[in-house]
Amino acid sequence: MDSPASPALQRQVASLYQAESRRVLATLIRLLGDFDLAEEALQDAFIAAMEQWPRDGIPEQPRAWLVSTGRFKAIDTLRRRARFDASQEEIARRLEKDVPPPGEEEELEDDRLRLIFTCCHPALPADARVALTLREVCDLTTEEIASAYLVATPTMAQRIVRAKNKIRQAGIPYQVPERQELNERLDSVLQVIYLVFNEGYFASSGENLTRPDLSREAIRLGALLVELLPESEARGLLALMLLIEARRPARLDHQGDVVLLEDQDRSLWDQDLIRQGTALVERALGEGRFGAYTLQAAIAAVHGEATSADQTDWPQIVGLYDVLLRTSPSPVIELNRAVAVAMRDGWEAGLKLVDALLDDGQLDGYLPARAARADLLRRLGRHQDALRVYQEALTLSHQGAERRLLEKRVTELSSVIPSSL
Amino acid sequence: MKYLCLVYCEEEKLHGLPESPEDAECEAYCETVEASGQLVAAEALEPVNTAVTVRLHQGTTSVTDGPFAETKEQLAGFYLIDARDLNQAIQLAARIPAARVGCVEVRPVRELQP
Amino acid sequence: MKYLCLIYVNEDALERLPADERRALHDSARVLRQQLRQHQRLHASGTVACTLTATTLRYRDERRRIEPGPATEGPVQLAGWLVLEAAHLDEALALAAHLPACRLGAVEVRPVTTAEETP
Repeated sequence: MDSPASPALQRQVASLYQAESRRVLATLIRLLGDFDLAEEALQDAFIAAMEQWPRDGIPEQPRAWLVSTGRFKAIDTLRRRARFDASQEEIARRLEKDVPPPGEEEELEDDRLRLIFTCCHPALPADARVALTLREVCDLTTEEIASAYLVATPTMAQRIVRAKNKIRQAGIPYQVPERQELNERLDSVLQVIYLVFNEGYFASSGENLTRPDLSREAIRLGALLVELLPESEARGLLALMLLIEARRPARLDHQGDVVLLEDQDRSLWDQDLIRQGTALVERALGEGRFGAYTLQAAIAAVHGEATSADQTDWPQIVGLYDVLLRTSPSPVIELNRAVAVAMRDGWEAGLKLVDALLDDGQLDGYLPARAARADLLRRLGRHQDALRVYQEALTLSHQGAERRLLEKRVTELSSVIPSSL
Repeated sequence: MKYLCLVYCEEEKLHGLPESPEDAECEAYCETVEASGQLVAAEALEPVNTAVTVRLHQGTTSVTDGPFAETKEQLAGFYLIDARDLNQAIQLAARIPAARVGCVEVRPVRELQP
Repeated sequence: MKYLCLIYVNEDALERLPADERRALHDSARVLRQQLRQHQRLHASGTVACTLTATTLRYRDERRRIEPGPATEGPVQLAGWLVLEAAHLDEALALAAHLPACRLGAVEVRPVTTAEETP
């Protein structure tokens, strides 16, 4: 063996790995047509770099070198396997024959987009889309993904293996969808990114209320998507995530309990993120082809510019919810609108809308609906009713910090209600 | 790759709705897919009341009236198509006229030795 | 008349079978198909990959949705099909009863529409 890699070179290769590994992987998957083979080839290529670069120097185009080395390593792997499975020899020969032309920059960027669209294909189960995207696009390890989602590592590993099997067996192609399908398929990509973000921001279970790592990955993914595919809704989603993320420092108190939007210390909000988010929303709105994410981001931007809940432009927020309901009707959005109406027109007006929604039955098991009703009753001074509804809401909550907020309200109310009642 | 497109539908909806497909439309669809060389086979089924299910339990055959799956939506027919990949199969399946009133399950065919 | 035999199998049960039993099952199905073909009773046959590979298309609120998984729920799922030629239903049932899937699941037999009405 030649001179071992110096620490400086090791660092250089490590940072190259960080910057390039996903790009190289994306291209290798296209060239090799197999996720597992491509991952193995990627590792082999970096090992080869550690051996050869100290001797020969870092090549002029390290990425192209890694892709080409990875491809040859994969052909070697197939040859080794051919000793046990003759069919591998044919694949190896075909790979050897089809020498890829030196990739144009544009095509290599497309590879990253292909990888995203393949991992987020709607034919894959939603949890598998999320897992595969975090594994392949974000380079999180299976252990990291498993711990972020509080499942056992073997379970997560199996989820990923099954998803890769389906890609192969069902013939899910490695391509950016055609124009006429792009919107439908982009929806699936945006949904995956937003799911990751939400899991990081509003952890659905466990004692810790937030997992900032997942939110950070989602924002990185969102930014990558905007860079690769500058569609309005992709901008809208990135804006929405930035504007929500801006509030993170004010979201929990010292005990780790939730602070509601109207009670948050707005001086803690990250003004830089608010500026970036607002600029993206304005651009997306200006393009005229926006959807639900952009509208939600616009609402978050109105909150972002207000110095307090009282100073918020509630009429504008209600107006934005009206537009949102027209494009994507949902009882959850109606609930949010009802709360905005309460802020604009008074608690009584809001309560009337919330009650109508709950009577409708669609929000039966939805905790925020109960909590909103309890809150409006409390503000109207109907303490006895409020206490009962807070207790109903508690039966729906499985999240530590969320429960503590509801329990706090129950305690407060119990102390103002005479015990003889 | 070959894909089997299973058309599931509530039987009343297959013929009873304003958007229910006409026979002519289904034939036209078949012809288009055939012309592109992508149709391997297509069959329409008689309604489920004609179905009989056979089972073998501990050496005895049992024959029961009705379809195997007691679901709201029933298999109404299938198309066996040849497509480049799943995306193309989905594109073709989405144009099946009966898909408007039911759903289409798309599954790759497993190649067997003869 | 043409009859479609829909072969339903409990995927979990099939998965749990020892490899040699599973192979024997596939072999006997293959032999049966060969015999049916020799007697000009088999128009077509096919096998689909397991439901993990299935994708379902639905229209909801005028919008097309692509969903993972099969159209129907449960562990017993379509695994393959045969189009048989038989003089009448009883003959079709007698032929279908030889299918090994009758043991592992069920075979549904339905006449194929003769009129020109393909869904």
